[in-house]
Amino acid sequence: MKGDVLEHNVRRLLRKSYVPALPTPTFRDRLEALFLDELRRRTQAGRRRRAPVLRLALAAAAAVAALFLGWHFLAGAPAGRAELLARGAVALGLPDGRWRAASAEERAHGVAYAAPSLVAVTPEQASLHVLVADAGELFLHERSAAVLETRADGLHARIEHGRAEWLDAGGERALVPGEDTHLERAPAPDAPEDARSPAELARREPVPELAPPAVPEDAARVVLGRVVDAESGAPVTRFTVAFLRERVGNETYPPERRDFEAEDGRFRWPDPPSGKQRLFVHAPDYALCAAGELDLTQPPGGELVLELGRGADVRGLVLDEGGAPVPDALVISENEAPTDGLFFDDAEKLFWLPIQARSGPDGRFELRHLGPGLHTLRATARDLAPAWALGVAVPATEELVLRLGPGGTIEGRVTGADGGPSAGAEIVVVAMDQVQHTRMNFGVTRTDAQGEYRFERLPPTTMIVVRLGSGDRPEVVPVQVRVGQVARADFTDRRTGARVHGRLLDAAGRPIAQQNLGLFVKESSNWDQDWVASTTRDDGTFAFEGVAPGAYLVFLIDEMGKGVRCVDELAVPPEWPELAHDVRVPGGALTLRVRSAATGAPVPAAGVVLVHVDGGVSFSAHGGTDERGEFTFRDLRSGTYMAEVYPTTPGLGYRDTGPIEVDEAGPAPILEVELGEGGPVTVRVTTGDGRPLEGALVSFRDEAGDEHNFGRLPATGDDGRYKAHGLRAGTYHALARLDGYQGTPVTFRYEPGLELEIPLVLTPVPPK
Amino acid sequence: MQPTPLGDLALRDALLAGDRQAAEGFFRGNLGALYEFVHYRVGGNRAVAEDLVQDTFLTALERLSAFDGRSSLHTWLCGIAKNKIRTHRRRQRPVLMEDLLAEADPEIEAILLLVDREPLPEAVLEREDTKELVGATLSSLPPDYREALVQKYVDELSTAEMAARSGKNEKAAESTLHRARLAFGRIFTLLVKKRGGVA
Repeated sequence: MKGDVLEHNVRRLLRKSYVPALPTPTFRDRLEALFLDELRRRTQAGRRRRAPVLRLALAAAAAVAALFLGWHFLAGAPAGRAELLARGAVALGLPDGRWRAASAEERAHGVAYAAPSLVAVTPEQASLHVLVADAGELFLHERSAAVLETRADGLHARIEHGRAEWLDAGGERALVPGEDTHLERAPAPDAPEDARSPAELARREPVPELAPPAVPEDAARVVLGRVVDAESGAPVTRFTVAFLRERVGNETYPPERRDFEAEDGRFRWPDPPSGKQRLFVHAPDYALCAAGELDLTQPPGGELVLELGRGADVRGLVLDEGGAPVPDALVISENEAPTDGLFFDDAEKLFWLPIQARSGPDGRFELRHLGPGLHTLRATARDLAPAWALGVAVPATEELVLRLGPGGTIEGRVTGADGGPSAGAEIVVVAMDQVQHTRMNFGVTRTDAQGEYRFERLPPTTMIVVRLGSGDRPEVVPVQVRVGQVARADFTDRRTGARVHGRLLDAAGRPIAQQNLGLFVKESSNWDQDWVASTTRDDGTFAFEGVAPGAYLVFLIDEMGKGVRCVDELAVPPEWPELAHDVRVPGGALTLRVRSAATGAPVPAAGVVLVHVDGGVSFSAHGGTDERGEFTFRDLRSGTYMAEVYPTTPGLGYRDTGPIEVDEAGPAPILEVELGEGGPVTVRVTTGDGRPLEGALVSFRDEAGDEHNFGRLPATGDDGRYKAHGLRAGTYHALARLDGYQGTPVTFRYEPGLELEIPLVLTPVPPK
Repeated sequence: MQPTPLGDLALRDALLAGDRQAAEGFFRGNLGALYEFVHYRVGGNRAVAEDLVQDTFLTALERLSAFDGRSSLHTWLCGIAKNKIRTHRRRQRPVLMEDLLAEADPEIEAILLLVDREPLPEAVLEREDTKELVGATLSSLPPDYREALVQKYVDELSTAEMAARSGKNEKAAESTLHRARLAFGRIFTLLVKKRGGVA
């Protein structure tokens, strides 16, 4: 009976009292579009992070190298005023005595003055606006230096040398070098109005409400927040707040952080750093809270509520190559390091690493309070090379093992134009497999009195060595680090090749600033070696130094190689010291639409490689199809191209297209590509004694002799295996390459439906 | 809600892989129930509900890789939404069900408590606060229970039709409906007792 009554009442309640709360169609459609857009953005970003570049992995290094234009400022000994100016940067002296370069944004739009002081020094061909909130602005001409200082009686300026003007509501006035100028008087709230001078009153009259306070703490520039326990909502009483500046172009900065203690969990950060900032909060016994990006170019909104979770722990063991425990190793999660980069060693001395652990005498560690998700863990220890564990799922149930080896060494010498040693040159080394990591890993040193430098205990991988020269163009040398061996990279100012310089212009002839460029030998079979890099200045100028005679392709390279395309070519004649060559980015485009021949369904996530076939075959660009099976190549020159499509969808095989014409002046052609049947083949690479070889690059040569890479970085994993997707029926030769090893291709026949594992053996190259 | 052709973990993987079709299914399959869930927890404030639903979907995308299948995706989404609602309440004094029901007649309350024992008077069914309670109760049910009740009593489907839609047999559909009614009765009673403690 009770059930019947309930049924009766539920029926009546739902029929008579239920009014569905429905989202409006407008909201539904808008949110659906936003959701799908966000998903696509995240997926593409994720693919970019995970998927290194086919063939042009080294092109990414050019961009990495250029990154160090910015890293320079936080790496090793702080850069000084003279050094910054020598590199063409605008030098800003901070109240704590440190110097930094003005960013491109600050150079374009002005640098915000923050009390108590700022020193600004401009080099040749650069001027600067210093914006003083609610008061006015100082315009500093090129090759000038000014000191701004807030004193008890207001703001003062002193021009050390050069020229400057002060502009405020009263108009513009030139400042006299060597003289102290009182720019703005601090208001005296309790003083009668007529206590001010008539001149001052007259000057203030148009905007009396804009008078700055004695301590310029603009209420609009205060970040307010409250930190609470995510579970209970209770306030967290002791915590650290940090702002990490958005990475702009190639520049990046260490975070600014402050400690707070408050019973109600509230904090107040007056005059926070300007621009877009990533906000982090950490408290003892909590996971790091990455609270996202704040746009502090706008007045901060209301109080932020930041919830801290406890996170989860990872336990593990740090061992050396012989299996002995490594005590006192520093273990961190790269994901929980609020920075864009990390030193190979001693990272804890410069970077803020709130989540870290040390291994005990038995090598065991417990890394506590990690946020959920996948992490990249890194272990470093004295006298050993660092090691990483990638894709560690948190919470982790199993004990993790990190093995640290002795690593390898890179050394070299820097010589000046006279052939003598170049002492004090700054050298940076960067691991090339950055795409596997969430943070850039690098080392920094300077040459000694003999012009020599040395990096020891480097992880065995491809590295690039960057010399930060006297200009703002880095010199870059790729080097393979091998365990127990010494690799060499020398630099010299004695140029044997040409200096290639010019401007990068868009189709309308406007300069393109802060763009990474790579110059590659056109007929090269060794993309690892035959390239140089540059980054355009704000006026679009670039320069490649020491370029040997020959034919070259010019590539545009987006950050970390996420977009690489050939936009021009040039030839350096023998014995030419200098070549002026402007690069105009071409306007051609080509769209590929990839479908399954059997079903007609679009094929997403297929790799597409474009080759230019006018007068020889050369790599042009790469990309990947979207969910509609489409990809559009842009910035193409007019000419004849062919595309190679490598699907990752099961059951489909690769396909080369026929030639297609691209005409910059005509409409962008659309190429329909249908993929037939195909499937995967696994290759297992071992040494002669059966040990799996990690990192070997695997390719397949077909019956026509064409070589195919079935992925952007077709490398074996730690079990020596690499699985290629998308082979079609045919006979192939499987090849594996690894520096320091040699081997013979293995021939096999593939038919769709077969499960094949091809064994390949590589043996060490005997020493010469 | 349309049945999901993929398991929740497979759906998560499809979303992480950027599968647009899966994403549309996920969004459309969860929007209505999630919106209702939030709507009744923010006092029916449409603007706030829209903001929080949007935040919930975007946060879900951000944290998707952390979904481990220990709950259903819908429950997981509701968990995210609950956190958003809590944060919203801390920022701004919320309009609770408690407030909405503050004027409720104690006699009505007594009647509603008897939902599984005595037929409810017609007048009670017409009251605004009863409508709020029904919506709040439905929004607190698992999706399959909510769907079963709406199909049966709002869409007036037969058990056979419900079974066909959900891919179950008729007996299983009847069983789900039975459990859904019991759950409805319990939550409805609980909400009446707590007078608004719906979060």
